[in-house]
Amino acid sequence: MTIFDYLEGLKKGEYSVTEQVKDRLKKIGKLNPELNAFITVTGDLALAKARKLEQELSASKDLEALLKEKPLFGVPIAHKDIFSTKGVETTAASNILQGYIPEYDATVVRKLDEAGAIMLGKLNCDAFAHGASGENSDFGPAKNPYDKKRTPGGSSSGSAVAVAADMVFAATGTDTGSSLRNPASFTNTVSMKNTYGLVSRFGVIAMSSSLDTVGHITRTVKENAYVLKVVAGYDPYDAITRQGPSLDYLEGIESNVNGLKVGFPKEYIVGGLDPQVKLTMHEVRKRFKKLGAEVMDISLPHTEYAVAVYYILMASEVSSNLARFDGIRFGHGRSKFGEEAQRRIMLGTYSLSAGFYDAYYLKAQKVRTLIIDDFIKAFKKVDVIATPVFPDLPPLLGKNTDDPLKMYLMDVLTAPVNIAGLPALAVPAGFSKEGLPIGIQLIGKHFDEKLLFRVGYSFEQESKGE
Amino acid sequence: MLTTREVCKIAQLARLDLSQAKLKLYQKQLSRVLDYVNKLNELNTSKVKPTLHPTPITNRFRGKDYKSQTLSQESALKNAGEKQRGYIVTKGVFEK
Repeated sequence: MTIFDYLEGLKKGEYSVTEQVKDRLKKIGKLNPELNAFITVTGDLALAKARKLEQELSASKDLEALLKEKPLFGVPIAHKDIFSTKGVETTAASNILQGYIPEYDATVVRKLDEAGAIMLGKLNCDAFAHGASGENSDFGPAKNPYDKKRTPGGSSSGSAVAVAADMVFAATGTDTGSSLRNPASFTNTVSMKNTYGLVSRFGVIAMSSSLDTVGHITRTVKENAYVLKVVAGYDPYDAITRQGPSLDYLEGIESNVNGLKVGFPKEYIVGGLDPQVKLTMHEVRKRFKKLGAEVMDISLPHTEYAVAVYYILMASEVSSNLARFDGIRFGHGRSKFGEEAQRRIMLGTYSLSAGFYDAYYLKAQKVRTLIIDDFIKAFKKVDVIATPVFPDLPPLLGKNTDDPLKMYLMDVLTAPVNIAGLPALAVPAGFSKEGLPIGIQLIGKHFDEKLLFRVGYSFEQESKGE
Repeated sequence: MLTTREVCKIAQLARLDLSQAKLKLYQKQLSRVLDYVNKLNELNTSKVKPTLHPTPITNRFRGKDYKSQTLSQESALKNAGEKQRGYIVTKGVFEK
């Protein structure tokens, strides 16, 4: 069932909002002990809101009219636990914020709430969004519904699981180096890491301020576009958000992609790719040709430096953003930080310290320019760039946890996009012979989300036909 | 390879109170990461300008559409550890 099916059913009176919420809460109760997607379930709040919405509906008797103001009327969703939710515990999946209850909502939380969506709870993730597998959570990792011995990806691990396991229709998340695309790719779901500055980050616990973006995971491309319309837009509380009208991302989404130029960067089809991922990329090229697109090889020569750039910039900014956790105004003492947070704080502090700033942080900013230039040159030749999201199949839990560097290299194909601030849509591309999801990302120019949704939709429909 | 002294200094700057075991562990792990990021030195960036963030925005000032949203004193104190008469209690900075 998609969001659109759900709203149709509501309109026809096939079920009530309360029934749907109750069903999903029951499902969460049954599946969550094993899948560990939710840290907090807000059953009472959800049912209270369901009742309130039903009163509105019975008073107006016109769902169509209500949908104009509240396009997500009664739609069950959930939030990654780094999104501040007023009155509801927000832990960032870290012991340091255990018991912390925000006094305000994040802008995105408020927008979704005002649009009629019903929050079912707060979702598990890597603590402070530091990770690519969900294993850095202080509440245990979430499990991949396709194979519970494997990671669902990260850092928005719980978000992917909640959507893939059909607990909610949409789950918010963030993407700083891979954290929306990687979980979507591992769980056969869709996420748009949107352009830096499209969606407000106000109220989202900060990780790396020149890289953080806010988005959401859904099961289909159209649903993702529909939710983006609700959350995108200028916010005076987030200084980098772009001014201008919010777009209708569904508009033109069904248009064909004839003649569209799709580039495949050779640096992303590296030797280390799992053979099944490589095979999938071959299929992807064929699929685009079938859709009438013009497929070509391109080069992004500085790709191999992206992880190094990312880890210096990100760790430096993390060390600054986590300085506020002093245990005085909120939260517990700094000794409650998990290992990964401590590691990144140390790395960032070193890289920004006197005598090392030029060699590390400044150097990384310069290589950042080179990476951005690679993309600018590529987009003169192509409209969209297609790459795998991850070089391997979803890893087994525990596989990379002993070696931080191995974990960091999981971002090799996704981090360049954040460095350049570009949008990238992660869509399912197939399954391995073991039944494990394999996803691709479609990278576009700044603020070209509409084109990416259009391409993604065509690709998704074509893949379904196979 | 980071020296013990360097690791201790970093921990102090970062206000992290780490055990000997942790310091040793991070010394090893961070040295490995730093070796990896040193690959950036393969690139000549003497003529390259740094990019601080990927938007064309420079300074943005509060516009007229900024609505002041403040927390009440009670609200702001809610999550604080130690409180006293409307103040948050913290460690003294000056010696007696």
